[in-house]
Amino acid sequence: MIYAFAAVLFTIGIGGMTLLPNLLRKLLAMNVMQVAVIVFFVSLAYKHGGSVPILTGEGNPAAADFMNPLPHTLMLTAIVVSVATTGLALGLLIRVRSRFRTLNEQRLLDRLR
Amino acid sequence: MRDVLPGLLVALPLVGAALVPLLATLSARSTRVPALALHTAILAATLGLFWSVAAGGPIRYAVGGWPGPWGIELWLDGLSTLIAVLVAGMACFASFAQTFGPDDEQASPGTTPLREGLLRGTLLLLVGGLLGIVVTRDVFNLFVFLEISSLAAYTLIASGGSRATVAAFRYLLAGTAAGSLYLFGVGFLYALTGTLNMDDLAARLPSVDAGAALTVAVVLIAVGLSIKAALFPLHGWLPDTYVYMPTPAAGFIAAVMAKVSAYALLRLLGEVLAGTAAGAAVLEFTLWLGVLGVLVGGVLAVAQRAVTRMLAWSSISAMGMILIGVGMGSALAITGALFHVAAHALAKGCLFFGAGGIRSRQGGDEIDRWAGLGARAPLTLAALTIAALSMIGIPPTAGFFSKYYLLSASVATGGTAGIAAFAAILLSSLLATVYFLRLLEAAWFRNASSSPDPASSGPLSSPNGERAAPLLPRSLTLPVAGLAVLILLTGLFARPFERHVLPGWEPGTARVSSSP
Repeated sequence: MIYAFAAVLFTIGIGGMTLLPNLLRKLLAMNVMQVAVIVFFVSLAYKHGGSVPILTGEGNPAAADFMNPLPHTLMLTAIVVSVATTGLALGLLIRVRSRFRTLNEQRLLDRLR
Repeated sequence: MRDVLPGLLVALPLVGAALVPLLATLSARSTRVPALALHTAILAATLGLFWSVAAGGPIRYAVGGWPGPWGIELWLDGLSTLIAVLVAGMACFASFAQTFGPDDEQASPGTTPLREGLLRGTLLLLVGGLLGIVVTRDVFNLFVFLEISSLAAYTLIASGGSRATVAAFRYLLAGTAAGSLYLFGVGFLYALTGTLNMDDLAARLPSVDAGAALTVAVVLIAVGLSIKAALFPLHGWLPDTYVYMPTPAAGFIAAVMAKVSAYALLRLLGEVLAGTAAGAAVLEFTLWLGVLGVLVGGVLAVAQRAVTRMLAWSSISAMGMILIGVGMGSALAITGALFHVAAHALAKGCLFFGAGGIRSRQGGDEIDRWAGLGARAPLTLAALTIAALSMIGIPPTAGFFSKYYLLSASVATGGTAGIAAFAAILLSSLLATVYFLRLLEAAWFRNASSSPDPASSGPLSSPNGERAAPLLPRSLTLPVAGLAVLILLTGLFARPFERHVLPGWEPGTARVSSSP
C-alpha cells in the first residue's frame, strides 16, 4: 500500500516536471519525486512489530525483531543530496529570473533562439 | 603503492576541491598553478594504478578498512583504470584551458580570484565525482558520486552566462530525475537481496525469485543511467547544454561525462545484472535504442548550421554507438565500445576546445565563419582535421579502430540485431563524412568572407588588427594540439591497447571472470 503511494508520488513528480510550464513549479515537482524515493526507502525498512535496533544486553536479540537501520541512514545521505540540488537549482533560477524576467520555459526557449 | 593509491584517487580531487577556493581567498594571485599541479598528481595516480593493475591484476580496496559486503569497496581492473586515466587526462587539459585573463569568455565582469578559485575547485569536484563512479563497487555510493559530479557539472555549465544558466537548470531537472530513478531501482535491488555491494548482488541475484520486482529494478536503473548517458530518446538535455557552456568545461564534459554514465551502465547491466533475464532483455533493448540514436544523432548533426550544435548532435550519435557495443555484450563488442569511449573523448574534446575558441574569436558559431581559417592558422586546423577524421573513422586515427572492432563484433553477433548494428555504424560514418567534410571544406578550400565585416570579428579580437592575433588563445592551443597527437598515438598503438585493457572479459558472457 505504502509502496503504491510512493509510486504514485513519483509519477506525480515526473509528470509535473515534464508538463508544468514554469521552471519553479518544475523544481517543486522534482522535490515531490525525490520525497517519493525517500518514502519508499523508509517504508522498506519498516517491520510490523519491530523495534529500534539498539542492543540492550537483555534476552536473545534476533534480527527479525528489529527494523533495518541501513535504508534510513542511506536516506540521510539522499536528503542531503536533495537539499544541495534544490539549493543550487534555486540559485540558478534567481539568475535566470533576474536576466530574463520570466520563468516560463517556452518563453525562455524562445528567447534563447 | 597498491594499498594507498585507490583511496587517494578519490580523496585527492575532493580535498583539492576544498583547498583551491581556500587558497584563492587567502592570496589574491591566480590559483592556476596549484590546480594544474593537483590535476597532474591525479593523472599520475591513475597512470600508476593503470600500470599496477596491468602488471599485478585487479585491486580490491576496502574504504576505511571495512571489508565488503558491509563496507564500501573500490574495485580497479583494466576497465576502470582505463576510464580513470581518460577522465584525469582530459581534466588536465580542461584545467589548462581554464584561464580567466582579459582574453577569455569566462572573464565576465567581476571576475575575482575567488570566483576563479571556486570554478577551479568545481572542476576538481567534478573529477572527484567521476573517478568515484568509476572505481566504486557499491551501488549506493555510485549514486552519491553521480550526484556529486552532476552538481559540479551544473555549476560549471552555469558559469557560461545567462543562456548557459537556463541550459544548466534544464539539465539539473533531467539529471535529478535520472538520479532518483536510479536510486529507486537500487531500493528494489536492496529489498530483493539485502545488499548494496556489486559482487554480492551478482552472486545473490540469480537465486532470487526473478519476479516483476527485479524487472522494475533493472528498468529503473537502466533508464536512470541512460538519461545521464544521453541515450536516444533520453538525450533532450544534451544539445543546449553542450552549446552554451564555457569552452574549457565543454572540452571536458562533452568528452567524458556521458561516457562515465555509459561505463556505469556497462558495469551494472553487463556485469552485475547480466545473470538475470531482465538484465539480458534490457541489454538487447539498449542495442536497438543505440542503433536509433546513432542514426537520429547523425541526421540531425547534418541539419545543423552552428558548429558546436553539430558537435553536440554528433555526440548523441557517438553515445548510441557506444551503447550498441555495450548491448552486444561480446568481448569484441565491449572492446570496440571502450575504444570508442577513448577515441571519441579525445576527438570530441579536441573539437570542442577548438570550436569554442574559434567561436569566441570569430564572434559566431556558423560553419561559414570557419571559411579561410586553414590559410590563417594551418597548424590549428590540421589538429582539428585529425580529430574530425577520427570522428569519421579514417585510419590511422583512433576512430577507425573503434568502428572496425564494432563492425567485426556485429558480424560475429549476427541475426537482425547484428545486421542493424552493422548498417547503423556504416551509415553513421557516412553521415559523419557529410557533416565534417562541410566544415573542413569551409576551413581549407573556401576564402574568408569577401568583405571582412568589422562586426563579425568579434569583441575579443585585439584592436591592432585581426591578422596579428592567433586564432586560438594559448590556453586552448596546447589542448587541441596535444589531443590531436594522442588521437594519432592511440590509433597507432591500437593493438597493444586492445590486448592490455580487457584481460578479464570472457567472450559471450559479458561477465568479468576475475570477480569472485
